[in-house]
Amino acid sequence: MLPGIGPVNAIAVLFPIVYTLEVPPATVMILFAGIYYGSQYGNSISSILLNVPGTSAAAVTTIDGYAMAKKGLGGKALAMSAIASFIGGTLSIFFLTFFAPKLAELAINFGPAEYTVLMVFAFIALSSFSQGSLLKATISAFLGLAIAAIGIDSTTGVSRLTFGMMELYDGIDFIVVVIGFFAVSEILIMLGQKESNQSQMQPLTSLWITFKEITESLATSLRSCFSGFLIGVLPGAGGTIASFIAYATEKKILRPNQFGSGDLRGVAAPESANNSASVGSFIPLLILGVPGSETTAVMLGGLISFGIKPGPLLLETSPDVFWGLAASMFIGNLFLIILNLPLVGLFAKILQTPRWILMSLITMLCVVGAYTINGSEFDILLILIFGLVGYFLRRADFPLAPIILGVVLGDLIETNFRRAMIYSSGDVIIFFESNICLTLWVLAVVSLFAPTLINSIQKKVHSQ
Amino acid sequence: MKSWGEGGADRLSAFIILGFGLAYGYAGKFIQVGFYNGDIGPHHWIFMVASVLVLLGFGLILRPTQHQFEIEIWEDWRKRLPLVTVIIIYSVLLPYTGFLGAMIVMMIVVAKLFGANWKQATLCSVTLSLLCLLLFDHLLGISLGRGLWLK
Repeated sequence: MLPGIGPVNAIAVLFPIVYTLEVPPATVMILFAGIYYGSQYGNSISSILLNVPGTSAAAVTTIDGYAMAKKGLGGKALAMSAIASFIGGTLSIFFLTFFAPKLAELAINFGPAEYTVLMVFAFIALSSFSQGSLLKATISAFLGLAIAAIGIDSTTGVSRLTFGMMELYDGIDFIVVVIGFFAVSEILIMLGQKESNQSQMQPLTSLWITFKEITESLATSLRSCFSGFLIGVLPGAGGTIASFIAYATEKKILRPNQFGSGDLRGVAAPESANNSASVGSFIPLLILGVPGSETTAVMLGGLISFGIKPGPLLLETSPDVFWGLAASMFIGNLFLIILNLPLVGLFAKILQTPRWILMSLITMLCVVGAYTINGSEFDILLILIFGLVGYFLRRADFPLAPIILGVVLGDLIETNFRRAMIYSSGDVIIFFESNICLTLWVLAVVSLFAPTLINSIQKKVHSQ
Repeated sequence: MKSWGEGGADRLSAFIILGFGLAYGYAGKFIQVGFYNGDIGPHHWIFMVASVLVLLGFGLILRPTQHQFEIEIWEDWRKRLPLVTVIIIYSVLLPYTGFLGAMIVMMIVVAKLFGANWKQATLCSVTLSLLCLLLFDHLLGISLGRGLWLK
């Protein structure tokens, strides 16, 4: 909800606490998932009342949401946002529980070569869908792999790039990297920015919404939920693209409309789509072990830290994680709508909290979080180093999500790659032999060109 | 703000990546490899990653994107450098003063950097530090660093 402080930062600062408290993995995933999809709704508050999207996934909501708020209909827009989020979130959980086991049956045939190609596909998809240059995204991914290789080699037990420092023998904890690259770099960026003029915040008006208005937007919510889920399943796509596509589609389908000047359906479409996409992104995460966004990359790192290996066998080895998560999402969505409508006024007030309080609190949580992982001051220095590197990378337009993916998947991709090479006696043809490998290569090529098509849709939305 | 020429910033980033790739690959040479390496040993992966980074660095030198970024001059770092310094001071102080002392010092500086006055900064740092200590150390049992005299 708070601009600049997205779900990644929230998860990054909370992770060390739950890790130290030895909370069961299923509970941790429920907590993180709650933050993830809860933030999709929370972002709409700042989008609608302040015209400042908390994350890029909420950018489209500002178009009609803020236009409505300026007309004195901010409450109505927020109510529609909550209802559309509920519809999108709840229906997509049905899709998740239906599709995930089917995909797991298919993925059970994966060997080391297939896993390697799958992870290459994940890198290509996430890099090509990252904003900006593909070359820079690829560099980011390899920087992540470079960080992941530090420490004891899991196959041979040889220490690599530790320079005799005991603190590096266990490798660099992924959460230290996340806190540094995301939270600390964000603090450094915010230090250079002037405080936004919160007096520009539109007043919160009545949340009352008529039954007719809900039914008029129902078809929009349902269509957007479906398209959002499909986009969410694709690694690398996610809420931002889902909301843009849903908005563009609805604008084309619904004529006449007032999209752009305050149409309730213009709020319903992106909100339903981004909530649905956030649920959809759990399929590649849990069933294939491939995160589709920076937030799910952090969650994957969290699962691995707790000794849980996401993948096709997750449903058999840790059914509590998968089904517990699915069940919690139903309850979570219900609570979101029950809590959000009466408490939206309170949430809007949080937006007016002075920045020096929020940023002091976040800095404190970053430093405390880094220390609690290993009880070492060395990790505090590491988050600072990664924060500075992250700051410069962001200024030079290098996306950070591929770095996290590199750090999280680095060990797995290396192990599978080396294993596949041993099986094939060093012949790389093993990565092109099976039908699964070939399908994944085709998908990787498609994902290379997909962003060009999506960019043209986004440009169309902006120009109209 | 000083603006770099078109592609100039990318070339600078590319040279840094290139240098990092070379250094990374060079460091990989010193990995102690056992008598059996298999088809691909622990150092080969390092060389692979380093080689790709070097190639990508070259790629960015040859084909910089249209991006221009502004190099910030000293005034913009007047706030960032104290933040960096105070975090380093926190990590140095922590083993001696413990969490509370080090955190109060750090938080006062952070709150001041984000625009609070002295009174607000002191109040904010003391309150948040105490609440944090109460929550983590006393309620959750997570040690935040007790310092020399409390050990």
